[in-house]
Amino acid sequence: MEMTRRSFALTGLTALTGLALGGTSLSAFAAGKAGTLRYGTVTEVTNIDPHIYAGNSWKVLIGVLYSPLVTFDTKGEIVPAVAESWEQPDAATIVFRLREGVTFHDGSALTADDVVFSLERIRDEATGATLRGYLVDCTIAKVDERTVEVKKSEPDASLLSVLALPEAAMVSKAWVESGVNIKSQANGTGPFTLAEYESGVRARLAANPSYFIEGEPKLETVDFRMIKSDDARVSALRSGQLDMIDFVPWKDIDMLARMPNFEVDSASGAFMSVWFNATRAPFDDPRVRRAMAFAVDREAISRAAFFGHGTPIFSAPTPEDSPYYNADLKGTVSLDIEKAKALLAEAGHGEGLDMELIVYQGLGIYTTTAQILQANLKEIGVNVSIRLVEWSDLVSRKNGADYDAMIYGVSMKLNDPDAYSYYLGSESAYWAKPIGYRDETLEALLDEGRQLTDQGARKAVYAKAEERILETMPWIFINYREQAQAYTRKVKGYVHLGGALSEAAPAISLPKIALD
Amino acid sequence: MLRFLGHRLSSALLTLAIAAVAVFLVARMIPGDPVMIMLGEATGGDPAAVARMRNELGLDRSLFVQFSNWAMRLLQGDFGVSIRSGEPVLDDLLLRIPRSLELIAGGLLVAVLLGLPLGILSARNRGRLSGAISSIVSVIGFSAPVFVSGVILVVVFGVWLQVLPSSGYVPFADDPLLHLSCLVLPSLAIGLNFMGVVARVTRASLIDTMDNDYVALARAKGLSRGRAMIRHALPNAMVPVIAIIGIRAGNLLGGTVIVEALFDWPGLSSLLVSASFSRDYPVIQGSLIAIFAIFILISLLIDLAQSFFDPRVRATA
Amino acid sequence: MTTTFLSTFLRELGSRRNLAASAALLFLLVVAVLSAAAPLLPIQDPLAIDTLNILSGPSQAHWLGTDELGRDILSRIIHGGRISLGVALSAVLLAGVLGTLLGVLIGFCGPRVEAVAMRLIDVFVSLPEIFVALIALALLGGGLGTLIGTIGLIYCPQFARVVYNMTRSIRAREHVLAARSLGAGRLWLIRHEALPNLYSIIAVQASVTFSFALLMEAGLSFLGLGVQPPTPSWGQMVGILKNYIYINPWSAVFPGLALFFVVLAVNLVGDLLQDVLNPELRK
Repeated sequence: MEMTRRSFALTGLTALTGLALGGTSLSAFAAGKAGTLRYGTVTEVTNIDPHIYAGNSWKVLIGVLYSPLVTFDTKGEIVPAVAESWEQPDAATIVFRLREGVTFHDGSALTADDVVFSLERIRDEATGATLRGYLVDCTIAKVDERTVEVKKSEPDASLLSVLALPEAAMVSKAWVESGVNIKSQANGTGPFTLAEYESGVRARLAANPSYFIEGEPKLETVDFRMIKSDDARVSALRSGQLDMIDFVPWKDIDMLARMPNFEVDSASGAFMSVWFNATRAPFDDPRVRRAMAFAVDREAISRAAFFGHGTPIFSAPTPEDSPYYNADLKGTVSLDIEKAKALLAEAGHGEGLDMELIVYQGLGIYTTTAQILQANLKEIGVNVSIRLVEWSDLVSRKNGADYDAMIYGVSMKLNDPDAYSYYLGSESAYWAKPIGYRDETLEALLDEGRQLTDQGARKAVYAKAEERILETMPWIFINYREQAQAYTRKVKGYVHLGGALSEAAPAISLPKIALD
Repeated sequence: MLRFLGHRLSSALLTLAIAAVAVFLVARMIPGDPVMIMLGEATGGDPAAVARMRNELGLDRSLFVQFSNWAMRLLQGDFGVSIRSGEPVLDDLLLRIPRSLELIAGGLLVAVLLGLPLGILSARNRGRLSGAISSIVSVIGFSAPVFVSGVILVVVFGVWLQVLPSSGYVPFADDPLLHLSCLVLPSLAIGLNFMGVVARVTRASLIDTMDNDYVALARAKGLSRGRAMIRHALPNAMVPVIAIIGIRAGNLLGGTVIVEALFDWPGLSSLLVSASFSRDYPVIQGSLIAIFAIFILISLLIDLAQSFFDPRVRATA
Repeated sequence: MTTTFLSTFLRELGSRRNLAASAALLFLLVVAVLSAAAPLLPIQDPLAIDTLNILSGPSQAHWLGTDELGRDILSRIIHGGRISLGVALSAVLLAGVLGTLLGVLIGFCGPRVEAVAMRLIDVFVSLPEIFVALIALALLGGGLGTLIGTIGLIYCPQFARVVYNMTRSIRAREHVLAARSLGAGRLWLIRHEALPNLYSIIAVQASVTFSFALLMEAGLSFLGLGVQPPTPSWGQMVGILKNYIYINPWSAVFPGLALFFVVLAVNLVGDLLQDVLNPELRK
């Protein structure tokens, strides 16, 4: 790793010398090898610890460097990964049988001890792992050298889907304990190894010759470039410097789709919401929150901020293709200024109120959405002042309950309606959960749903839960934004996924992608 | 000459030292907690985890202890470790310094290659239309903010003509030609503004030196006005031009902030911007020190170049 | 001295040689009046959103087209001028008042304080300002007050240095030495001897600082560190609209041009001020 970084610095120096010499040795360098996919991604990843979420590009990177016990395939179904099989003796327990001969990139063999260590590392509070909330009341036990048992204290229908997420990655115990810097080095069991890495700028991934799935990965190398600027990413794809980009800017989706040499796949990704600080009056009053929900012009936001590539949410955010989608709720919330005014008056704020809206400054969609929202709320007498902040500031204000309301977009982390307890449950360890919001009726419904295994019975419970969510309105759901991937036609085998898997889709496809 | 060098060097080091103290203090006096930011998303700011991490990073010790530790390590070339990535700050700096220098060099090249002829033209053709036009061009260049000329350059060359990449960075080793073509527009954006400055000073100082006796002598010997200007006046007129480059080196460096943001160039300034947004103190401090060091180094080089051209500068030191 | 400076300046302004500068001054006056009177002008509401008509080019309804929310760009440029010019003007006032006080005080404080203070000021003047402003705003968060305060404080040392140098030369003049020997106090000297002689140099420094402050505000707003939307400022408009240049290149160019013409005009007027101050430069 040391070597790589130094060789990067050298490259910079060479560039300067090359400049001075008038670029005499130009032909010595060759651009793009066969079997190399050049991938442009949006987030500048500065920490590649596989257990701490750091943006969607992070998910792609760690998704191919590491593997979980089980994983999602391109159809969104759970298939074996490090574990070759599993059984569920009861609704709270899963027993995994490990695949034989799985090795880490450093050559050492993966053992049951590594599996236990990895899951314990996620549970350890000091790690700050993203999935800690889901696994914190689990016991993890090594049964024998090839068997591990994961047991929750009560039945949990979502446990297997949690363990199939890329952030439930398996790490090597010996390697982590040797004191390496896991934020900038990688040693997983995934289809690709980390050949070169410059934090926040680029990564070069090389095929892992001893990957446990025969015939994968098909690519030799993935050249992973982090390009935050929308225009830079799109124009690099258009000019042939890149083969694939993620997070296609909404303004460019139609333009790229019209071009004959590019494929644009799009599916619903994150959903945008307004989050309230329920510890602060008057936002602790559900009527005030509901009033604002009826004032939002969701169509206008989808049109202007997302150039038509957003789907307004007129009920709760369960995607329409989910088996848990409840069509009866559609239209529960819509643009209705009279109703909004009435609710506000009922709550005792008929004369209007002032509110500060915290907005992430890094993406145009947020500033645009915020300004439309501001204009919408003005109609019912709510004066919104917008405060643009950096990501870090947003997070610390959220955690410190130092805000009235904020807007943000999050994707469903889980392919299961129990995602609601992750977002809105008062016990959730998720950073974004509504501060000061705890609704006993909802808590009881979510507990009930988690413990049931029958889909029909769960559907009924979650329908009630969604109804309750819309009555208490901890968040205003605005719209689903489309997440699009664009690539040249020589890229074969990419499958785009929406909803909870939209961030992980590139990682799921990468081992299967080939170049024409 | 040695005394002059020693004097300049010690004053440069003093400036750097004062800057270092200021950098440290400013970074610490500002509200915002890097620990909360690091742990925020995952743990919801659990007090025990926060305290542990604060201790690990040495943030719980007194300001003075933190400063002396930092300064001692700095003197040994240790810039600390990035809070975000856990990697040595020095590695990041070494990677990005050449990229920012590249922009500055490109900008300077544009400024001198366009500014000098422009200045000469407007001095030589004083009172004529072509002279007036050259003067106007230089005032325009001087008044156009870096991001305005940058946006116009992108619109013309990137959007309309589509001959140059509108932004982005490609390592030299990956594709040298593309690397250089990515460099063209940012260099122009920085350089055009500076070109105006160079042209104005060239013009003023050329007009000044043309009045000197030796130029008059050269003309009396039969040299044409133009030749006398290029051969005799220009070398002497260079002294103030070099001086202005030194005085305005800060503008050149400051221009990289805008240009790196506009063109997505991963240099020192963009490192500083992203680090200040995430309160990554070691990186903020390291990149500021690097930026100030580059600035002081440029000024020092300019001083030396000036004394080379003009012995009087040495005498006044 | 003050009256001669002003009258020379006005005379020069009238001369044909300085046509460009007088045109520039006229332009600045027009811009200032337009900006100040923006709310009274018969132009469109700069905040009126029209999501059915975003990023449109120049048309009869919107002379300079619309922005990313369908708002009228011409109206936003005029209203944005209030912010851009207002911030620069306030920052110059702040820098001018503080810097002049500081400079005069240092000039009358005795050699030891003088040496240390000027050394510190030299360091601050020499460091590239934008980095200091950037760190301050990134860490403190943007907003009108912070913006004015930061820019004002940043340009304060430059004022202090210019004023200090002038004070020192005034202090050495014979009649000042005479007044001191007759027992005149420091404050009396500052009020009666230093300040009246400083007006012209302050005027020149203010014009230079004004153009720097304009550019600084624009640069910081361009980076997203200045005034917060929906309030427009020129730099901020360019910063946001540059993201849509592939859809409508004009939208980003217009506010940029507004800023460019104002800076150009300020520089032209500033050049003339400087020429009047240093007659030998004029040849």
